[in-house]
Amino acid sequence: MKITVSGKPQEIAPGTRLIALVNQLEARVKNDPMIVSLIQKTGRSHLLYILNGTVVKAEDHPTIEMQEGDDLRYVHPFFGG
Amino acid sequence: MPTAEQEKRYSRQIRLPAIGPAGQDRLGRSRVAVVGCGGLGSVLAHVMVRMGVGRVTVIDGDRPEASNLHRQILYDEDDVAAGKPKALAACEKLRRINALVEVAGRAERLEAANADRLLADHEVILDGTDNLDTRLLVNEWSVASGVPWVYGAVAHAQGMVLAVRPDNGPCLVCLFPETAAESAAEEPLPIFPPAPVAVACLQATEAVKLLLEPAQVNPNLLVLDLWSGSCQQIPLQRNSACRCCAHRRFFYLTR
Amino acid sequence: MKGVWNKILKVDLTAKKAATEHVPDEVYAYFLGGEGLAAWVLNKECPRGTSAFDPANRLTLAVGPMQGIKQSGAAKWAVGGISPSINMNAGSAITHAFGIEMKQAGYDAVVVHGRAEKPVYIVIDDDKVRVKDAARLWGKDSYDAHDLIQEKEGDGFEVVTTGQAGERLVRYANIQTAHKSFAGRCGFGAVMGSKLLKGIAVRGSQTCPIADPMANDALNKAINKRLAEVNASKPELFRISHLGTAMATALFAPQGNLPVKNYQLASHPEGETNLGGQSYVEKLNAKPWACRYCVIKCHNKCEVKNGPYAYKGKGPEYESFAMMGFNLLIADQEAVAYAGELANRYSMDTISLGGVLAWAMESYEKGVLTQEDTYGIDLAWGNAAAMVEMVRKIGERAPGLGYLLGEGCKIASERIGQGSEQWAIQMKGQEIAAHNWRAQYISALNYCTGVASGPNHERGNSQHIWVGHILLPEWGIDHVENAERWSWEKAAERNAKFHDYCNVINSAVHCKFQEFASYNLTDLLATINTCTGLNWSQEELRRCGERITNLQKLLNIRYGWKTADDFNYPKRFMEPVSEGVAAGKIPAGLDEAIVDYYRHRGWDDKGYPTAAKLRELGLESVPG
Repeated sequence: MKITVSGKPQEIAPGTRLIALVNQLEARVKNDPMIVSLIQKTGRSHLLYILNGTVVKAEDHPTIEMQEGDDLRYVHPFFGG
Repeated sequence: MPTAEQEKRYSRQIRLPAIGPAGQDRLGRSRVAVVGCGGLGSVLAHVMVRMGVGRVTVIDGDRPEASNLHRQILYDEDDVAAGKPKALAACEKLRRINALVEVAGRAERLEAANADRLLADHEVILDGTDNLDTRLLVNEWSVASGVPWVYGAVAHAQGMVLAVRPDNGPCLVCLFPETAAESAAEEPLPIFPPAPVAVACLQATEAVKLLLEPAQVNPNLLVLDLWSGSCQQIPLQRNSACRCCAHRRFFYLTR
Repeated sequence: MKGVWNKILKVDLTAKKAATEHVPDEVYAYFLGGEGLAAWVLNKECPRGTSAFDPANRLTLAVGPMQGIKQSGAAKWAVGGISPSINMNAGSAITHAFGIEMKQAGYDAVVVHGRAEKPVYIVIDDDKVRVKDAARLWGKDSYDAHDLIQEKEGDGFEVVTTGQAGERLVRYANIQTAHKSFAGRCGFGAVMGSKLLKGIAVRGSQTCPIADPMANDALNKAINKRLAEVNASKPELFRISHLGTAMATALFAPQGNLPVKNYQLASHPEGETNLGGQSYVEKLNAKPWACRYCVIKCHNKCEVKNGPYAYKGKGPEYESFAMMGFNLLIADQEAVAYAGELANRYSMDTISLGGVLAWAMESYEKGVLTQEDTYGIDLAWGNAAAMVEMVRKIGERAPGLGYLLGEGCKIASERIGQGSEQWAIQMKGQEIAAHNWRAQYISALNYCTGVASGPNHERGNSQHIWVGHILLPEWGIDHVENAERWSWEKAAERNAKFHDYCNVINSAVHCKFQEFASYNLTDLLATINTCTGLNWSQEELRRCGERITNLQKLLNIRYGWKTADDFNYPKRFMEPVSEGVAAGKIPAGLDEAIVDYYRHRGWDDKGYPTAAKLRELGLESVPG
C-alpha cells in the first residue's frame, strides 16, 4: 500500500507497523552529528514521529498499524536560539 | 494612515500587496515582545523595528559574550567589553535604527513570577529563547492569555518554526508531549550563523501575518536544513488530549 | 577576640574579583559566627527586594570560633543566604573537613556574590584565590564534579559542589562535600547554580589562635571521652554510632511521630521494620563513616551489592527513610537508599523531595495528576520503582512534571490547583520534615514560628524534648511530663529557648547531634569561652541566641514575611489519625499559641519585634 514518508511516496506491505518504519528512519539518520551525540549520551535518538499530523509517543510505535495514505514525518527536537 | 515620514521610510514594503498603507498603519499600532535576544531574538527585534512595528519589547537577562558575536547581530565588541545587559545594549542599537517606533528593554529572565508583567499588553510574542523550559512557559502563558506566539529553534544548520495560535491549532506541548532531548544536547550547542537568521526571518514573517492577515498564517511546522537546502512543511494537528491547550493544565505558570 | 580571624573573603563573580574584609570583634560578640555571621552579611549587604537568584544574593559559607579544635562535633560549619524555596534568609549546617580547611586558609567566612558569565569554580589556597573555568564540570553530578576538582587541584583540598539540580535551579537543591555531608535544606545548591558556580575548593595552612589552648585541649578530651561513653552505654537500638540516625525510626514510631502517606496515617508496620536501624545495618551493610574528631559517628557508608538498586555510598538518614519511605508508603529499603543517593548526586534535599513526591502521589491517587503527566510512570503509593524514576525526572528537570516538582509542592499545587493545595504539606514554600505535629504540639509551634530557615525541624527543634529526651537545664528546661506533649502550657517559653539554642549551636558552629550523647550547654559555653576568651555566662550565651533569632526575624520581615505566613500551616495536621499514641490528637489552639509565643518573645501580637526588645538586645544598630 502507498504512504508518504518525509513528504515522499513509499510503498509498504499491508500490516506494516509504525515501529518498522521508525527503525528504517533511525538507521537512515544515524550519522547525523546531533543524533550521534544524543545516542552516545542517552542511548536513543529522541526523534519525534508525526503521523497524520499528530506526534506519536514512543510506547505506541509497536502497536500502530499503518493505513493506506498515511503521512509520516519525523523531526529532531532541538532548542537552541 | 502612515505619515509622510513613515511613507518614505517604509515605501518599499508598503508597495507589497500583503502590507499596503493600511497594513503599515496597523504595524505602527502593533506591540510585540521578543523573549530572549540572542541569535534568534536579535534578528527578530531587528526586523520588527526596521519594519516599523509600533512597540517592540526586548526581554533578556543575560550579557553579551565574545562567543555570541559570530551570530548575534545586535552586539559588538564594545558591548562585550562594557558588560551591558543584552536587553539594554540591543535597545540602544534599535533606537538608532528607527526612532519612529518605541523600543523597550527588560533586562530580566522571563519567569513565572514576571510573565504577566512582561508579556501583557502585547499582541504577538516572539521566541528568541535558547531553552525548552522558557518556551514551555511562554507556551502556557500564550494558552492561558490567548495571545499567539511564534516558536523558533536552531541547532547546527537546522531550524524549526511554528506559529502557535491558542484559539486554533497545535501548541508547543502538542509537538513536544514527552521528555525532550534538551538535557542531553551538546554543550555548547553548535550553531551555523545563517541558521538563526533564516529561522528568525520565517518567525518574523508569521508574526507579521498574525498582525495583518491571520488567515494566511502557516499552520504547518517548518523544518529547515540550510546545509542541504531543504525545507519541510509538516502538517500538525492540535492534540485533543494535550494537557496544555486542551486541558489547560499548566506546569510553568501559576494561574 | 580569639578563635576568629576577623576576616571574611568576598568573591564577586560578576567583576571576577576577590578581596578580604575586616570584621570587628563586636560582630562575633553579637553573632558568634556560622549562621549568625551569614545573617549579619545579609543584613549589611542585601536590601529589601533581593531575591534568591539575584546576583546580589550573598551565598555565605561560614565557620565559628570553635572550628578547628579537636572536639567531637566541631567540624560542623554553616551556609547562609536568601533561600529560593522560602524566599527569605535561611541557613543550613554541613560538616566534614571543608570548614576546617577554610578556617586554616585564614577566613571566618567566604561570601560569594554576583554571577559568572559562564560556569566556574573557585579555588582558595590560603590567600591565593582563583576563579576557574568549570565548562567540563557543568552537567556532571555533584560527586563526579567534586572528584574532578580534587583531582585537578591536588592534595589537601576540600571541596563543595552542587549537581545538576543545583545548575537547573531546583528550589531545594543542596550543596555537598566529600560525598558525605550536605547543606541539605533551603536550596543553596540552586543559589550556586544561579551564579553559575559549580564548586569551591579550599586548602589552608594556618592555625587560628584560641584564647586558652591548654584548657580547651583538656576540655575536648573530657567531653570526647564522656560522649563516647554515653553513646556506648545506650541500648544498641538507640545507639547512633551503630545504627546512624536510622535508629530514630524505633524512637519515633511509638511516639506517633512518623510521617505516613503524606501525614494521613499513623503507622506503617512494614516500613517501620524495614526502614529502621537494625535492618539498615544488616541489609545495607552499614559501616560508620565519621566526621573529623567525631566520636558518635552517625554517618554510615552503605552498600547494596545486587539488584536494580545496587550502589555503594552514603547511607540514608532518618529523614530520608521517613520522607521517601513511610511518607510514600514505600518499605523497600534498598530502593529508598538508592533513591537517596541518586538525590545526593543530583543535589536534592531528600526531605523536600519526599514531601514533593508525597504531594505528587496523592495528586495521582486523586486523579489530579494522570499518567499522561507522569511520563507514563504509575506514581501510585508504595511504588518504589516509580519513585526512583521520578527522582531522576526531577533531578534532570525533565520538561513538564519533572520541572514542576522541582519548584516544590507549594508552587506545584498552586499551578495544578484542583484543591491540591490542601495536601501540599509545606509552609512558606518549604516542605515539612518528618516530625508529626500530632505527636507533640510544640512541633507545630516550632515550624510555624521558625525564623532561621523557615519551617525547619533543626532550627528550634523543641520536639526533641520528647523525641530525643533533650532538655536545656542550664536555661531552665529541666523537667517535662509526657502529657505535656499535648499541651500548650510552657510551649511558648520552651519553643523560644530551643530556637535560641539552635542559633547558638549553628553560629558557634557545632554538630547538634552530639546532644544525643549528652553534649550540653555547659559544654558549649566552656568551649566558646576557651576559644574566644569572652568569658560569657549562660545568660550571655542565651542572650546571644536570642539576638541572632531577632536579627533573623528582622531579615524575614525585610524579605517579605507577613504575619499571615505563620498561620498558613497545612490543615492536614488538624485532621486526627485514628490509631497509635497520638490518636485523636490535633494541635488545636495553635493560632493562640503562636500569638502567645510572640508575646513571650517581647514581640507585638503581629509577630514584629518591638523597639524595646531590639534596644534590649542591642539591635537598634547592628555593629560592623
